[in-house]
Amino acid sequence: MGALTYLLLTKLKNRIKSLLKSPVKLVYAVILLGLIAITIIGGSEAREAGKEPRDIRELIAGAIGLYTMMFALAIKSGFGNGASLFSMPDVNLVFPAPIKPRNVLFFGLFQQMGNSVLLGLFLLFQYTWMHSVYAVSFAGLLMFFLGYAISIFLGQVTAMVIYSITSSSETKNKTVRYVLAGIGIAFLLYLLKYCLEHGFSLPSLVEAANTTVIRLFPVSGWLGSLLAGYFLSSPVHVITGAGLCVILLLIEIGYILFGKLDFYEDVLESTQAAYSAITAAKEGAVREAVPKNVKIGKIGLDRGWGASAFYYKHLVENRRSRVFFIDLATVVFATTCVLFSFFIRKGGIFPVFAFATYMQIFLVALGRINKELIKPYIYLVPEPPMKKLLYSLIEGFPKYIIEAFLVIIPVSFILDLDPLTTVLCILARISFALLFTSGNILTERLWGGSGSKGMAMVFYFALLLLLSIPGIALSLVLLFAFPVSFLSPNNTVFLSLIICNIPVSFLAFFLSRNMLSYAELNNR
Amino acid sequence: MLSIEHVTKKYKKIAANDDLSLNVDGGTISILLGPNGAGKSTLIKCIAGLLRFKGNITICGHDNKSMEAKRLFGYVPEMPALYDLLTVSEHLEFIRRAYRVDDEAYCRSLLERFELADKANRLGKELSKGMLQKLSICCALAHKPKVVIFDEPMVGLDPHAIKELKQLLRELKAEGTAILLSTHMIDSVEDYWDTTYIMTNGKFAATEYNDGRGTQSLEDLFFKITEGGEAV
Repeated sequence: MGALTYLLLTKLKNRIKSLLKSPVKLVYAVILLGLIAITIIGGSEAREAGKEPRDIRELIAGAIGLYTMMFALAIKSGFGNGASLFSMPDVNLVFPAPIKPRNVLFFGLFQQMGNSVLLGLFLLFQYTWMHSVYAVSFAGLLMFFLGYAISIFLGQVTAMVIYSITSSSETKNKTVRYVLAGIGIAFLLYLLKYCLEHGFSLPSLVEAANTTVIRLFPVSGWLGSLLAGYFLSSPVHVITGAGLCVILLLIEIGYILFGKLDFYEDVLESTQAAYSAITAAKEGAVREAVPKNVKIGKIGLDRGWGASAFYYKHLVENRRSRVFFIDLATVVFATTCVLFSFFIRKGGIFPVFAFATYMQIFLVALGRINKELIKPYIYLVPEPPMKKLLYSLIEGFPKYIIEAFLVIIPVSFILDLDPLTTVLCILARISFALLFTSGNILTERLWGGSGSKGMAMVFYFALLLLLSIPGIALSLVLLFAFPVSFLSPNNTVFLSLIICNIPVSFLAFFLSRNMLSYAELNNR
Repeated sequence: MLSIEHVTKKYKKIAANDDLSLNVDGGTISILLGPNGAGKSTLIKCIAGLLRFKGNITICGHDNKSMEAKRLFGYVPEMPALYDLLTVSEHLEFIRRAYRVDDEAYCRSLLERFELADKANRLGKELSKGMLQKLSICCALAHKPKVVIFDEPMVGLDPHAIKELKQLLRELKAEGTAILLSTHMIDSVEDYWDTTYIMTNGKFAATEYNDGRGTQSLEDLFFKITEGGEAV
């Protein structure tokens, strides 16, 4: 057995052994597999007999969007530290060993392939609705899963090539950036043109995403073609889509092997960066996306005394990390919500509000307090824990308010909402931001840094559901048992959510107040 | 000033600290020695209030998690945990404000002492490991604590900074501060320790008091204990 095969097999064997040795990991794996099994078995029965499935091209269009996002995110690293298929032990032990670089490259590719497959596991949980609405079979689901894994895998390899081409020269870096942005913009313009000609509606967008032009869009379009070929029984599409992906991979491997003499150097920085991130995570550090070149600007906190010093320190840190009230993720989420409202405008405010609230779960992060919790100062500073907690949280609050305006104002124009509904909708969104923040804190308080991160996420979602119940319950009571005559149903629901979410949030903050007194910093 | 009574800290079934008791009086320096994994850092984190434990820890008579205790306590962690986006001077300003301390001049003097004054406007992320350690020490001392705990403070420091730190320890001792210091660099503490606790497997295997004659070798004692010798 060769050294690399031995390494791959031993790592796999040890991973399985560690799973069996750790009860938490084992329970987590069993629950995960059980949930997948339940989803698939239950999902197969979820379809009503005789019900006409929706157009599968809608799903393909959605998959193209998802693959585009994943591929774009993966190749973005090619312009920074680069991407790596290797780990730090590979760099230290495999690279200096007398093993052919080509074999080492294939070893890296094989490892990456495994990781890409693992990343797509969440897609398996989508079986129930995919089967129920679009009549997707399990084999069909696996095709979506495969497409997802390929988009990440090709994204990583492409990022490696991009880094190899651009790392040595700023001009090359800019050129490749412009070329890729140009390709993206050209396809976006095509979508826009198509919608201008055929109307801005969901069916037009789906039509556009299934045209030959979009199927030529690198990687995600090709994968869309592969899916279309499978679902619409068109071997030509399958061959075209799969063929283009294979050709891209072969070109990239060829470039890495023959275009450059030494790919080891290209992966070194990204491997080190990834290793530091993993080590930091193991040691409990939350890595911050600190800009490479920080503009220091004005020096000094100037304000703050006692616990409020944390708030003014956060303002300085936010200024330096160029995090202002709105970050890129917020803009993307807001734009997505606005577009969603545009395409389903006939459905009214509730589907949009529900969608925006669902997205909000992922948007509401704890911000700087997460970084404070892994440093000793927040525990050591002699101030009341509740005060320290609130002062560490408030830097995020303006963002929630601005984000609520940014999402709801355009939506109110699109849906033609009256001023009262708009105001209540904004307040309800802010109340959910508070509620999710308090859920985050309460999870920290109850779960702390102990146990599996996956289980903590499950706990967090369950807690959010629990915290949301009073608002939803009050809405239902007021809507059906005691209707409020002077309020429309929409406004009744929004008002109920505001009335309940805000006190529930502050109750959760209050219950978490001793979090800083009962820390377990060691396990974080 | 620092009192630890029957402190036990368990991780699942393993006792990292097993029924430990010690006292560090004002104006004395106590040293914690022990092989890797002996439980030194765990004990220090318990004292700092960063871990839950069974038993009692008091700082100047106050429970270690109380406001009063925190005000009187300084902690230099094993790994410097500083802020990437604050400058050196802002770290001290932050500590000064958070602890409600007005004495800016003292903070400046600490920076000068550890040769950080000329780097006052450099960001945390731009500092080397040694500079981070120096800044971490400055942060722990900025509010003039009465009890200070150093967890491996010499790691990463250059010889000049080690010399400065030793001098500072002597000064703190002379001012009546209680100091507990954990280290693997035994020779660096040979000339100024008062009490030494040698830990193995979560317990104190030996306690040695300095008789002032300069004839006791901590290194000899350490190897005797950790390489199978009997407890004192």
